[in-house]
Amino acid sequence: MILTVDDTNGASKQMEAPTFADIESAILSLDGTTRTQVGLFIDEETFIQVGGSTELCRCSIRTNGKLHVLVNPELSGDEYVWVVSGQGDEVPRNECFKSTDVIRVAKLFLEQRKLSEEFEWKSF
Amino acid sequence: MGRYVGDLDNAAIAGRFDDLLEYRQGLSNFPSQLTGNRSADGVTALLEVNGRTYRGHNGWARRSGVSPDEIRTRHAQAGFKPNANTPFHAKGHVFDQALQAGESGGVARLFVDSTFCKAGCQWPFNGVENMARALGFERVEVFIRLPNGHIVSGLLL
Repeated sequence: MILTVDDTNGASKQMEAPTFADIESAILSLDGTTRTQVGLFIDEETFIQVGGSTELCRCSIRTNGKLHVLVNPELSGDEYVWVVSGQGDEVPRNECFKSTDVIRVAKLFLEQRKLSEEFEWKSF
Repeated sequence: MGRYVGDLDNAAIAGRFDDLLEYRQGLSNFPSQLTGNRSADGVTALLEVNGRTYRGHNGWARRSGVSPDEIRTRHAQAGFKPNANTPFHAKGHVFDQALQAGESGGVARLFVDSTFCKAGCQWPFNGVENMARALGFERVEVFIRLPNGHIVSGLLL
């Protein structure tokens, strides 16, 4: 597995064979301005992407040939917020979570290759 | 990316980045100057292929009145293997325009006024390469502006 942390000033980093503590630390370090994106590359068809900040954190998982985007059904999909995830974009509010929620989702997938049923997913 | 082996001279390359700056300054509610920080600056991109030019910027989807799901679906159907972010970045914008214009094959040149993001657009996630392969481009020459203003180039395919 390869852990990547994008830095919008150009000082991006990557680490091979990270521990879960490394992954958790990377996700918690997202600040929405300079460190805005974490990637966990398992193989070409299996990876996790987390982006944004601790309060507006997006999560998606690519597996089995599809992109799965984490969605919070309790929030609006018609309201948009500005989130920088590598580059800035207006994102549906219901695709944004607290980073602590995303860490749970990532941990489950890494340990069991399962998409969390705690929230919903949109698949493409 | 491999080492650039194309035939553009420095003046021609600088001209493309001047073009991008002019494009940037013509966008409403978009930073007009480059400081070297991708978050603050936003990103613009220019794609040349088969004699046509496409210009794009990050955050384009909502400005264009297109929903994120519509773009993800379109890119998945086109074989772009979309990840979470690349479709909505400046590179995603120019490749989306090329897709909708029916581009297929040819030698392409891609100019971007920022580094590629590390967790989606470049290796190992290959967000840009996947789009280029899906459109059948035979070769893609890439020119990137670094935060210090220097331009680096290479071959994506």
